[in-house]
Amino acid sequence: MEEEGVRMGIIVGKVEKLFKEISNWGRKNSLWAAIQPIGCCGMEMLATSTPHYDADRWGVLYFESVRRCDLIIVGGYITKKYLPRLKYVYDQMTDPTYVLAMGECAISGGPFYDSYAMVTDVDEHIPIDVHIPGCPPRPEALLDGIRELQEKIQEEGDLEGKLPEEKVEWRYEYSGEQED
Amino acid sequence: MENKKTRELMDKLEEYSIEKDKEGKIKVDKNNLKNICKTAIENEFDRLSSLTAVDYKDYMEVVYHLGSYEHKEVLVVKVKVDKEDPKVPTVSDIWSYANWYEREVWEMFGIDFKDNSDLRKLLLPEEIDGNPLRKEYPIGGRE
Repeated sequence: MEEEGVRMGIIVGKVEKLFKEISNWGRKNSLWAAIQPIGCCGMEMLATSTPHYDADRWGVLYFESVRRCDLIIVGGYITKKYLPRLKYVYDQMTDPTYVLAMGECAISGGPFYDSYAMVTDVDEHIPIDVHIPGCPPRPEALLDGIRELQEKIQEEGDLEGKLPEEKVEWRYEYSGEQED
Repeated sequence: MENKKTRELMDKLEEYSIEKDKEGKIKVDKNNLKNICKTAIENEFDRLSSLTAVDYKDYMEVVYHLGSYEHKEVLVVKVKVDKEDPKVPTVSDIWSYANWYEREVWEMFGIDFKDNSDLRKLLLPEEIDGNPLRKEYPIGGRE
């Protein structure tokens, strides 16, 4: 087998690898984001999609229906009451699902660390790909996190932990006994 | 502000052995609470604008704010409760909307409102045990 790469306009390499690269390229440039704007992170999250910052330049489009989204931006304070709902949303999303944790609250509890209602270990409940520190992070920081996630998607090549059978481990079992 | 009507009402309430403090708030015994509320309603202090509780480490107090649209004044009623066995008569039969206040105080402080048959959790999820606003509750719910 000859060296991989593009030579004289002809792509040389394994077909699987080529397909993988093309599909990853497609995935990273077309992220449909489910957002849940909680607290002050929510304001920055929404500002990121406005024409001034324009997340659509990087292919990130906020969308209403979580079942058609493959990126969820977890921002703001996650409470013990909200966590089952968040896991339920995550569970419904398309595979592979990418998760961005935005702001101190989603990473470790932030200024509400002492509260009886806070979840301080969201990454124990949902597999987080990129953490974006800040309180709240500016839209530029969120865009930087998105760019980092795109690099990760392109470089990883495979989808470890992202396929449905591996996602089972994180699956939220909906009992149907919730009040609302 | 003069609080004229509040003072008049306090004079009428003397028979229930109330105890006035400097700030014009009255401390009452829990057995007289319902009669005091009824007397307040007769004197146009007919709106329960807040019902909450305070933990003073050795004892707890349930605080009622009785407002009056007529006179634009507020009467503050405090009931001292024991910390080990906190029990207060319910006022949800006088003001039906007091039920939600009582549910919140019940879940946050563990104060039992006698004769309130609808004490369920209002704000907290089911998995939180204990009463988070009590002083002895561990920080962050972690031991």
